[in-house]
Order: sequence, then structure tokens, then C-alpha cells
Amino acid sequence: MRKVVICVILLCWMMNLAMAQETSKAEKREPVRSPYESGILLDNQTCVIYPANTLEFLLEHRFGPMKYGMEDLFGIWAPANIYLGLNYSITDYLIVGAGTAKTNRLQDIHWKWDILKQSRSGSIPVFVTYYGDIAMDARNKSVFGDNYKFADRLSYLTEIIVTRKFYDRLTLQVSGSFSHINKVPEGQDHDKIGLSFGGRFRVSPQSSIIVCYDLPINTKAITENIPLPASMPNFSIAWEIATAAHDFQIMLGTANYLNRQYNMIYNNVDWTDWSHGSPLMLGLNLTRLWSF
Amino acid sequence: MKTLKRINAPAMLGVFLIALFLMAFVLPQEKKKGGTWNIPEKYKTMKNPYAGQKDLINVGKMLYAKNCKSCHGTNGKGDGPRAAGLTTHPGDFSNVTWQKNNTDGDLYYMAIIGRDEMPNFEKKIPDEQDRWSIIMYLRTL
Repeated sequence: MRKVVICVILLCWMMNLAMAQETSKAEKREPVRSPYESGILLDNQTCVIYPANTLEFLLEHRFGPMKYGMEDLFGIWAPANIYLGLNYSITDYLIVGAGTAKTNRLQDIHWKWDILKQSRSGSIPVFVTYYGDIAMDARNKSVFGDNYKFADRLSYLTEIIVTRKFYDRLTLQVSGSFSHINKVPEGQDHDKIGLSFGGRFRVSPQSSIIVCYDLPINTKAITENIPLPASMPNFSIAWEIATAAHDFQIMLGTANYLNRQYNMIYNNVDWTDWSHGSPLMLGLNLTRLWSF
Repeated sequence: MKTLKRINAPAMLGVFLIALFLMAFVLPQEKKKGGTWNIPEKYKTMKNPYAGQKDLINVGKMLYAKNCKSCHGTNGKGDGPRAAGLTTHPGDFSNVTWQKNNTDGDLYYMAIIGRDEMPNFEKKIPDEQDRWSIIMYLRTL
């Protein structure tokens, strides 16, 4: 399996090189303009990689669940989760970053590579993006139980995102991911295959409605446990406002964690279950860009 | 002999405040205008390579809204919400004389290269076609 993945990545890389050479000879294949305004789409990633030498500061904040109403002002006074990160575009095609989240004290490094960029001429119909993340749980080692090893702290995600900007207002994406957490509580799966869908509908030049849906595939084919420990799909929706250097996403969502692989494996909030009040929580994503 | 009525202090204060408020409409509100732009010759004589591609005006409008509107205002009159914090007036793009006296190259230099409070947009807007789209939109204001 690993060999196949390496072969696919190498093939895509060679295609990319071949296209770059072709570009210098023939007509320039300019990528379509701003399929999204930011590198993140709520709890997921977009195909956006900023121009080379751009630094992005990222702040993600999730309040508590809204179900207690005025008791904790719809979750605003409840314990919250927060993520602070920095991303840097090494080239127009590759961005690397690192960050820290409050819940589980997750420290992560990640990278994103636009293997293909949708061209204005239509010769390349979609963006194909590879996203990878390694996270480390930095809590006290007593959390990990007996026979502690450093590797118990680690978790991984690898994801391929296919995006198409259909016209100025509408961009849609679909992605497939594989998540793995080295040490999980008994009865929990280590691995999860996930599908994600998302998109943007631009309402005005600066404002958009964005949505994201993560669907963990609870399949018996890769589960280690019967009965199957199901993780729940995550749904989030936001109003996005973009300026030259900032992006604001004011959102409602159900993801417990500010890390993709943890959401895929551990999310236990059912966004369709309103029997005990709203399962949604308020949140914010903010980004700030600097060009060097 | 008639005696003057005692001055009513709260009423006087009220009159003073109203006068102060009204003065706000009378006193000059104009910010200092930026000095003449010193534009290099190579920019002055630049021609828009996309002239005539009307579909780019809409692209320019989108980019203007994202990058320029906060200072220059929706209609380019220099009345955007961030203009108040600037030392110099951002200019009025709807002014006929301003439009007539500046070449496309002048506009390119002012919009993309910038100076002082007008930031440089070379890195934020790296695409040449995008840059000219903004110039084309400015011409419609």
C-alpha cells in the first residue's frame, strides 16, 4: 500500500514538472483566481496555497455546545478549544506549518501541496491537493497508561483534495483521507478512512457562505473491534468575510477537536440529534497574511 | 431700568454643545492631499495589454472590493472606513480631472507600487492580468 502511495505521489510530481516545462514553452497556464479566500475551510483544508514567501497566522476558536442556551450564553461562557498556528508558503505550490491546540495539548506539523492547479483555460479542470499532518499529544505521560513510549503520542493524517471552481461564485471540493492514532482507548479504532465535502458560494466580492461535511467511513473492513465504534460525521457552516490580508469565518459546527485526524476518529457529536438541544457550537477562524 | 436675567448655565452649555456639533459641518474636514507622484518614465508609458477585454472589469471589481475598498470606499471617493485613520486623503477616483490627467501606467504605479501610506501590492497581487483588471475597474469609477 505504501509503495502504491509513493508511486502515485512520484507520478503526480513528474506530471507537475512536465507541465511546468511545457508552460515555459507554450501558453501560460494561469491558475483560476481565488477558488477560496483562505487555506482553511472550517474544519477542513482548501486547495489555496498563497504566493511564495507568504506567512499566515491562523487562529481557530470553538466555544462550547449551544444546547444549554442562556445558562452559558449559548456556549460562549463554556470551556472552549483554541488553535494557534503559523503557515509559510515555500513556493506557490507548497506550504508548511505548525500549530498548537488546547484540547489534548495537540502540537502539529502539516504540509500542503497543490499537485495540480485548475487553469483558467480549462486545460486542467480541477485542483488536486495533498495534505498531510502529524500531531503530538503533549499531555502528561501518565495519560497514556502502562508501557509508555513516545510514539504513543503521535497521530497522522493524509488527505487528497479535489477542488473545482465552477464559476466566480461557486467552488466545490471532495476529499478522501486516512487517519491513524497510535494509541487509543480500548475498544476504539486506530484507523479511519474519511470522505469530506465542502464548498463556497460567494454572496458578494468579500462575503461568502462556506460549508464543510466530514464523513468517517465506519467500515468493518478495517475495524479492529466488534461492535464497531462509530465516529460521527461533522457538519459546519459559516459566513466568511475576506479582505486583502485577513479572512474571518464565523461558524456553527460540531467538531470536538481542532485537528483533522482526531475529528475523524473521535468526533462523538451527532449533528442531526436535536433532542437535547442544539448540538452545534459557535466558532471562529481568523487568518492574517504577511508577504515577504 | 431693566435688569439682565441671570445666565442659565445648563442652557448655555447646551447651546455651546450644539454649536460645537454644528461646527463639525462647517470646519474643513479635508485631509492633507498627498504630494505629486514621482512616477518613473517606464511606468508612465506602460500600456494596458488587456485593453478591450471588458470581462476583466468584473475581475477588477472583485479585487478592488477585497484590496482597496476599505480605504478608497465603494465608489472610489476616498471615503472607506479605514480612510479616517490615514494622514493623507486616499484620493477621489471619480474626479474627471484625475482620470484625465493620469495614464494607465500612472494608475498602475500608484495602485501596485505605492508609496508612504499607499501599500505595495506587488506580492499580494502577483498576477499581471489581475493588476490591470483593477486599473480597468478604476477607469469605470
